[in-house]
Amino acid sequence: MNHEKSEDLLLHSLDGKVTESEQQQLQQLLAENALLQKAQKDFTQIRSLLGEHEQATFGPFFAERVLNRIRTMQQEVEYQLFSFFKKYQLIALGILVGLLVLNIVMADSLSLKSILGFDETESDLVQIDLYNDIIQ
Amino acid sequence: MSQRNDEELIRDTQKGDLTAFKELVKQHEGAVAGVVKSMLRATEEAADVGQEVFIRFYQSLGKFKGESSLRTYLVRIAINLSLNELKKRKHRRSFFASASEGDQVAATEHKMDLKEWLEYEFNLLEPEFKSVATLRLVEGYSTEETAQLLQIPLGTVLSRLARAQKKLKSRLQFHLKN
Repeated sequence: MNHEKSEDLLLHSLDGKVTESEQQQLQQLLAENALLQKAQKDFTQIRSLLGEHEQATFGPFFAERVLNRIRTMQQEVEYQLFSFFKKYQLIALGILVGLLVLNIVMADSLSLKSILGFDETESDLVQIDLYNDIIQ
Repeated sequence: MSQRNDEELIRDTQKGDLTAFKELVKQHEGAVAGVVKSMLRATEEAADVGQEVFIRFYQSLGKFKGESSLRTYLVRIAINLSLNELKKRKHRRSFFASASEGDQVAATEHKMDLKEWLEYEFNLLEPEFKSVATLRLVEGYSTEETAQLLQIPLGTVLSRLARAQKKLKSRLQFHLKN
């Protein structure tokens, strides 16, 4: 087995991914090969140094900073919605008043239903006829 | 008052309780910071990416079904955003002078110990090697967990791990002699 392959076997063994026979083969190679022994020492040192660190943080008040960003985002969304409605509210109001005036002009009577543009039911019309009869 | 678990904190956040979300951020900051700082070093962008991880999670709270643990879910977001940030850095470097050249000058001016050299060389690893090495060797996830987090086959994890360590050993040859 060449050195490259021996190193691969060594590295796989460090991650616990070798069979029992491979482990035995590696032990034999390590016993015979000084270069592989040095590689084992180096890899172990590298792995140990990489794993050696304190609990990482993003500095003080990180959670508060995250929350502030969320609040700012929420406020921006609310503001955009508000601006959108404010922009169109005058137009919408004008259209509504226009429709009401049109209904009043076109209505046969001045009942609330005809002003609002609802169809008058038959019973309503009967009542209007009765009212007209009484007046006559 | 008893501490609320992840499930309760998520439920309370969904009801609009931002203090629950704050508690959740505090509980998982360490796991996210470990990954992001290992990938991007302790830079200003690292803190921004850290914030982005939790904001992305907040925005997709409804999508979290609890199939994996919250820690795993957040670490997956963290590693993806860190990889995106590394891509952006690569683009920036293609427009401006190489940052690694500047680092090299700083490194030779200051007498560094093995740990510092290791951090320096680790930072120069290509993103695909750095992500595997971060999860397995720095953060201590198992090879299976690393494969799940990165959504790559176990064999790929093992080969990338081996190549990353060989690269580090070869680049640190001079410092490892003693």
